[in-house]
Amino acid sequence: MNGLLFGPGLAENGMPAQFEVNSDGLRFATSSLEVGHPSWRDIRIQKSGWDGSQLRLEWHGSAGAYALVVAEAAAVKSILAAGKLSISRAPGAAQTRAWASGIVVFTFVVPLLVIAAILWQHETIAGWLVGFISVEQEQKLGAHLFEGQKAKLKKIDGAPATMVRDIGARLTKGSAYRYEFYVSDDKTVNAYAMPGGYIVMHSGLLQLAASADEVAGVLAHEVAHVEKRHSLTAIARQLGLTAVLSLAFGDLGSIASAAGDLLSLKFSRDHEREADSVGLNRLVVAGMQPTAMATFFRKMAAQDKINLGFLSTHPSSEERFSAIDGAIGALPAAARGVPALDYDYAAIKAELPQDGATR
Amino acid sequence: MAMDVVDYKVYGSEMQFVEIELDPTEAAVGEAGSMFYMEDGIKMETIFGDGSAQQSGFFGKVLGAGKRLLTGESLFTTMYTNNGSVKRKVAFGAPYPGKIIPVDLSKIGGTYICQKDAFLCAAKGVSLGIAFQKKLGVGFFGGEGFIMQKLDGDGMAFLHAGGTMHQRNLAPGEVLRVDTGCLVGLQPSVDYDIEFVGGIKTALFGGEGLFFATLRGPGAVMLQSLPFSRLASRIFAAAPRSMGGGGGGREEGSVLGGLGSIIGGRNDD
Repeated sequence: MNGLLFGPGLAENGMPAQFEVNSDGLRFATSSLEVGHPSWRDIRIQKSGWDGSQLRLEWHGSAGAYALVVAEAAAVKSILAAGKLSISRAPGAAQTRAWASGIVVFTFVVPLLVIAAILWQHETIAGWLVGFISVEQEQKLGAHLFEGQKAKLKKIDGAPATMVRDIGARLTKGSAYRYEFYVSDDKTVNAYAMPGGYIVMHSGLLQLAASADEVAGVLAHEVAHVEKRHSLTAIARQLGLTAVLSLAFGDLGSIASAAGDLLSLKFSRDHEREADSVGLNRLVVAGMQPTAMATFFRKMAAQDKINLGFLSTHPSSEERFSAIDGAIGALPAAARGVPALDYDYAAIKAELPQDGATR
Repeated sequence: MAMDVVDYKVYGSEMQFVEIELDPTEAAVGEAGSMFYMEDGIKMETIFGDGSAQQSGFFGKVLGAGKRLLTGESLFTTMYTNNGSVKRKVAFGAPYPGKIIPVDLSKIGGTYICQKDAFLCAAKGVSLGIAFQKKLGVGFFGGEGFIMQKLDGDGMAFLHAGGTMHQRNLAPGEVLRVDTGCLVGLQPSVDYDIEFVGGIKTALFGGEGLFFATLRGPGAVMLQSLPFSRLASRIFAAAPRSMGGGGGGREEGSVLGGLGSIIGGRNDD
């Protein structure tokens, strides 16, 4: 077996040495007598080498301290079989280990945990962040966002717009927000709310509605979104998710933002449910028929298969409808038996642009 | 392994080159791109993989080339053979300021572990390989990463690194603590470990980073006074911002230099 022998009188960089291992100790083939025939009792065996894969055998000979470094795997095995490995730790090794593992955890594990926590609790975090935004700031943001949207809007004036504005004003009486209601010439059955109180109804939705009360149901739902700051939360959530995703995927920023956009497409189911119940309350407070809301949402669910609009972003489910029905059932009879709104809805409908009414 | 005995001379002081004299039929291997000049009669041949001709077959060659790719060197090495009938010279230049140090592998046990990129040239017969650092802590914080270069054989090899190179022979049990990143090469018999600098104040404000590299004898170690990355970061920090530099100078190891400089000592590897 071959090793490198270091010691007094030998080459500084070690002398290649041949040796044998037996039950007593080491026996060197070279006739250098000072090295002697060290026995296992006197030899300290330690793992060593630049990568810790070698063995270092240390002993004291007649001329001083000697060290034999063995790299060959077979020799390492036979030495370990014959002698005993002494484990010694360098002073401060525990501290070094603690700091090293601390840094590894800090640089790899902590960011992963943070990302996981944000992905898991992003809604709560977004809601918490939104709490710091004042109504004025929200209104400013909404105005800014709506400015961009306004150009694409085919605004309709006249009786339908007046009706929507009037019902909206009744529903939002006493609100901190300054609402603006618009009717847009768009045949998709849709309505949406932007932060700060900008609510847009598509003419398609008005076309589908059978009465002013049904329109009021949708309006109440959208007003509830604004009052509960759902769109602001959704924006905060999307920005946060985009930031987190781009952090997680590094350069794949485009993928991250695309994914963020997809996620931002809808309010969460919780938000929709909340908007339903808050909207229902608003209808009752404003003295309007709550039942029309449920009727109209059912109608839209039936339309959903044909027309991708409102409901593609509003998760429709029997559970949701039964929740609305339950809430209506729990209302006092007086609130349910409210007379219908006093509008000639057929006449108002006739004022809507007809090309959008193919369905 | 057939080795070629080469005569050489190192020229210059801070930006050096080494001139190797080849007897007829003798050959040297150089890192691709490091050739400076060669005399008439020397044939330059680029080989896939490294210069140890014993790699048999196509897969052996691909493996050798892949290893070189891992250590950050080019896939090809170039062999310079003297086809003439008289002695001829070929010279290899260092790529950045520093020193060229000859290492006689026959005198240090036949194997030497060195920093990636440290290899400049060698006599034919020295084989280049990679060596993996098996200790996680050393790989992460030792300053040299997980992959180092292994020189095997019994000929001369020439290493190059930044600053001034210093060779030390450690006696059995002798310990040397070195700033991480300053280790150029070591004999495999040397223990290479990391050690916490000790104390939070020293760790954060001592300017040396959190860890030392600890070298424990027996064996030879080669140190460099100025890793090139450190020089580069200083130059970058001093370069005007308008030219893409880092603007005004920043103190080495300062907390204001960011978290990276606290952990790594300096922003280098």
